[in-house]
Amino acid sequence: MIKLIKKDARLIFKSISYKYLILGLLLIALFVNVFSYIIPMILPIVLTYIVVTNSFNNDALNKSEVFILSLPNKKEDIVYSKYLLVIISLFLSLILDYLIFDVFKIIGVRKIVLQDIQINIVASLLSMSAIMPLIFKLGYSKLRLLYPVITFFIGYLVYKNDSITNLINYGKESLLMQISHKLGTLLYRVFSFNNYDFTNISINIYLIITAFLSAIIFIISMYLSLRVYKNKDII
Amino acid sequence: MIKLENLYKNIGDFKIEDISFELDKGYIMALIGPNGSGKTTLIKMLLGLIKADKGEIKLFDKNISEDEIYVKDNIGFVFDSLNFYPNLRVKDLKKIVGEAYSRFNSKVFDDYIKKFNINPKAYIGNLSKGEAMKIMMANALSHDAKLLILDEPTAGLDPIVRKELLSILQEEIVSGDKSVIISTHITSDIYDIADYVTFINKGKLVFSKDMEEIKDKYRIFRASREEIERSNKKFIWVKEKKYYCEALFIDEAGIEDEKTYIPSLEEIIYYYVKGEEQ
Repeated sequence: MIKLIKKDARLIFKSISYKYLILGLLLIALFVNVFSYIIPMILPIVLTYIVVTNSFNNDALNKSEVFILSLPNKKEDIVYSKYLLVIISLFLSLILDYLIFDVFKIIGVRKIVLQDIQINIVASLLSMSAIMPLIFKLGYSKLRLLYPVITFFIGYLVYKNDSITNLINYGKESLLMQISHKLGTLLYRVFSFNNYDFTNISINIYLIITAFLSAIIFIISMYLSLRVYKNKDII
Repeated sequence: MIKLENLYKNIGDFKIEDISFELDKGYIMALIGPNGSGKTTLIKMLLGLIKADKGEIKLFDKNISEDEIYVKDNIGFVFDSLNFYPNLRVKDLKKIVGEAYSRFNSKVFDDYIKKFNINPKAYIGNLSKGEAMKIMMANALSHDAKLLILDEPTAGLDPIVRKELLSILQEEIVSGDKSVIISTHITSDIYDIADYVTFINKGKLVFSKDMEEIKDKYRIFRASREEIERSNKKFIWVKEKKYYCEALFIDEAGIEDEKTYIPSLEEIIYYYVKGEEQ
């Protein structure tokens, strides 16, 4: 499995167009002030999407599945490696996000906050959970125009239903936030906290719950992909 | 070493039906048949890329679905084209395949690349068809595979590269511990090297026979229509020509006469396919 991730990593580095990379970085630098609110929130989602779909695109474009699966590789390993690629890409792009917005803070752009990380993790895991079983079932090429739409739609839903903003700005509690609130109250009683900042505890529990739920959905998606791909004929 | 038993597979409109054959260690089997007969599907089934609906495939006494890594580790494959990432270099391919096989010998691969006069820094996308096939051949021969599976390895190659590849193949199997399954529709390539011939048409097994038996028993009878009708031979198909007819038959009695001649494999395929069309 590790060898397959190394193969994907090698491919990504070889297929990067440095011209476009520099252009992209220049554009970010140029518009970072204007879009300072949104960029830290979407950069890891976009980067994870690009890395993962690029890896599927490379396989589809070159029909390399037959070659790779004729080597001593199992179909299961292909699935695991792609899901692991999502985690690695997300983790690295979050670090990059942090580094970029820590550097740009010097020129007055806002710094990355916990909420950005939460939105990035939830949106990336959910969107990849939705598109990867489809890719394993139907191949990348068939629905390649649908995948960015799904990712954008899920990203938008996650952003719009961001309970933390709603709680802080409007005092509104979503169902999950209500559950987090109740869990927070329970913890307060069980552990007899000296100070009870309900907003803070609710937000922390909410973050843990959303990350946990996203991880469960991601694992279910991986299980679905495994079932689909194991029975798929590589023609 | 290789045993296929009653294989069945439905892929859309195409069917593989009741295919069985065996091949022992050290022998070469040619898989022949017209385009679309199911050769590539069968090869993909051998490699575990396509699962059989029914039947069993045993390679090295193991089932590929149960011992996938062991089985694939002992197979060297060559396809009709190198479907690999064009923006990677030959040395990247070597790294990727080298990490995949447990007994990959880097030196053997390098020696082949040098022998084939291929630059290891060349991009896969810039390789000619012949060079790409040679890379696949180097890959197949660099990890001490017990079985070589070649799917149309000479298709689209010029005669020089074809001869070069076939002579390397012959050199490799002369040691006798490797088995080879080679699918081709260029039957002249395998006429002198194959020990067994398995002929499939429309997904069905026509025959799987010893090459010597084919050379000994298959005959074409050239005679007039009346002579053919009077003959008590069981013809596979009769080809009508302007002044005479030609018919393929199995000469069990082994009687040689001036009206019969030994057909090429191509002719055998032709007569069987035509016979089935009627």
